Amino acid sequence: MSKDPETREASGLLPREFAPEQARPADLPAEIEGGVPAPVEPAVPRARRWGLRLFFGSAAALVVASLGFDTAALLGRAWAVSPWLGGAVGALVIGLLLGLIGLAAGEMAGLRRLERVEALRARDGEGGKAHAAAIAGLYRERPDLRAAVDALQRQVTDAHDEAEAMALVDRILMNRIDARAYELVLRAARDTALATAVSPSALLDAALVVWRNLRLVREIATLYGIRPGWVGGVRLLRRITAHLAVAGVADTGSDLVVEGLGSGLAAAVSARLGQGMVNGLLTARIGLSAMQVCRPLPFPAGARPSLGKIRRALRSIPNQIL
Amino acid sequence: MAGLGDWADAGRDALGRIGEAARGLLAPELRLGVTGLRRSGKTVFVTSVLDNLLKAGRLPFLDAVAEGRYRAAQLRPQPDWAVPRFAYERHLAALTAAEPDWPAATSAVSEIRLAVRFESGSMIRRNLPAAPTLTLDIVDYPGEWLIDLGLLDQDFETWSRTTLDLAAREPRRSLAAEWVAALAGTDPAAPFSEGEGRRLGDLYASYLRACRDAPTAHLSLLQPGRFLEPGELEGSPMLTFCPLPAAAGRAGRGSLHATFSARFEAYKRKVVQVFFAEHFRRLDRQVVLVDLLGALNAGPAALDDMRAALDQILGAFRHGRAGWLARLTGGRIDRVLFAATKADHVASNQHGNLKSLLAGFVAERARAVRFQGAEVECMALAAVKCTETVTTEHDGRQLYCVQGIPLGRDRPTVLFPGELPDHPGRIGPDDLGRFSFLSFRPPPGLGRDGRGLPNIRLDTALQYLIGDRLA
Repeated sequence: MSKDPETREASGLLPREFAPEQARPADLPAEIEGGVPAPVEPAVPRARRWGLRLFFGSAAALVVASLGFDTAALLGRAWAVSPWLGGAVGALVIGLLLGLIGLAAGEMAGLRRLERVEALRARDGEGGKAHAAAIAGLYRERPDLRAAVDALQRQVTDAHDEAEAMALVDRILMNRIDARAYELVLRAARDTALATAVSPSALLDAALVVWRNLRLVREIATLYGIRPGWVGGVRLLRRITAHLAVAGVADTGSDLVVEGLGSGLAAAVSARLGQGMVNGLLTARIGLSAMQVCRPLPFPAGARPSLGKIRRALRSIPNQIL
Repeated sequence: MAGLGDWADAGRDALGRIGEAARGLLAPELRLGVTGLRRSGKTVFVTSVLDNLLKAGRLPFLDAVAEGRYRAAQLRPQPDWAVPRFAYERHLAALTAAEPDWPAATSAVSEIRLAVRFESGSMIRRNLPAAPTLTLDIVDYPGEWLIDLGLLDQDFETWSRTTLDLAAREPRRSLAAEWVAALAGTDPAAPFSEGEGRRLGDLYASYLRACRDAPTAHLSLLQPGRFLEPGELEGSPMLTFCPLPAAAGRAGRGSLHATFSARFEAYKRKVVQVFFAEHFRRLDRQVVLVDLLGALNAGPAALDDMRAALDQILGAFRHGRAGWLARLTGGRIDRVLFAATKADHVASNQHGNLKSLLAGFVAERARAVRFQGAEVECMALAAVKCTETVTTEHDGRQLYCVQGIPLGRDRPTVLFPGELPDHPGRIGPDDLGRFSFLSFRPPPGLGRDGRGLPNIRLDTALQYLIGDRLA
């Protein structure tokens, strides 16, 4: 009987026993570090404008250098006037530097949290229990999720394979977070829809919508355990935009516009209301994209968040106002 | 030929069914049949199912539990008064004792009723005042009875031929030697005498018992099943026959062949069809437990035997769901689960292969059953989880092993039992000794946490078997 190499190799290993001391538990939760390839972004060829880079780089370096010189000079002059004044200025400079370091550390931590989540998303097929433990580790410190994390750790055993463990993470832990994120999206969508509908100027409501969307993204990221800093926030926004671009293209046209404009009498009556709906749906879409990007494991097939409930909630807004 | 009495029976039966259906609308009932080939852990399975449904602490994959809609379950008096009750408390006590042990095997049908109260997930039913209750009847019966259903399609000649063929091959040949020798000395066409008939019947029965009890052979296809557990039928003519080689001449009335043939038909009518009508036909769901690892341990002959047994079992499900008429008149099982038990005897990374191996064994017949409208699913599970999956290094390779206390020992060991192939076609005749699946003792302190017995994939199995009724 012919066998393929894999079988032959397996059959070469005969059953055997070992002493218990030699064994260690399977699936020890491994440390997860950054450096795992990030999710693939849509390839957009970007022009390498090295002249511009050189210009801005040099300008920034110049500003920093001149600031340094000025500060040193300031310090020297203050010292010349009085040692007390010099000491005070020196303390200010030190405070400034410390604050800068603190900010940078915060940014680094935010970035690391983002990278950790991205690493978790990219991980695949490495033993269920360890992966589940790593995801649970993101939320262990949160008092509101303590019960769910404990339940998860009780239920996942060494007998579950990767898919089963992830399904358990989904049903026990992520479900709760998802439900709350959904609430956040719903609220933000209503906010923008209402704000657009009642705001007196187009410029004002544009600003409102942008601000509210940014806040929503930050809220969702925090809920999923990322808490990004500024840099992390920017990177997250880029991911979300990319996600919107990839996932949303097909149905943006059909859903957004048709749903927004065709959503009944109210929209026809008031252009403002219609605009509010469109903005609300846009916010909802951004929020849902943020959920997908921030989730440490992808949504299971068939359970992706949908706009349905949000649409219904938005449709009731005209009735509330009129 | 269907006589008038048969029609009257069918009419009464149909009326009973209409009544049942009407009651089912108000308080849904589900009859779950649990059976298994020899030593597949039926009793432990039922005990664990009951314990887990009662405590509901380890069923994350049962949707009703995961969604928080599961309220509680309670044991109730069973509906059939003539059927022994499944001794749940005694079996659980054996498993959770200070010196835990596997419960003693049961050999006859038993039954237990469980009422599960839950909140419905559907909008309409959720607004009804009372929380719905699912009444779950678990019927546990020997696997041989199920294999016996395969006899219904066979006449005495066909059955004799296949049985004699089987007995001519190892490992059965040595077990059958005495009976076959006695057969060689008899003429099937000779006039029947009670003494001779009894001698042959007893020899055949002891051959079947030897097959069942042979520690290493692990044989599953043992027909007729009541020869092994006769109960009150012990010594009746219906259980006093054996397969006979075809008669050389024409075997006339009153010959040995004619008498045995008549008794075979009587067995089919009085035992198999009665089982079909009283138990099997009333089942809604069926679990067939298979100790695939035991058969692998025993080698290719045992595997062939198991495959033949599974074939006959699946044959019994051909009468699956075929419309409302079938529900009123015939079998109504619409979901069948084949479960490879004792999955905790291999490391968790082997569970996938265990499942696909079992699926490979039943694939062909399962397609036929699906075509009839019933669903067939295969799983690898362990009703009670006795081991942990651990890893060791060996020759620079990481091995996934199981750690537990083997039966008959006091200290835990770490066992690499061999790696399972993922398809039956990959088990060659030279693979004897490639596997060594030890039996493990139930770990001490089972069930002390009050969450139900630890298990592997019992919740997935329950979701498949009863989950849709808890929706």
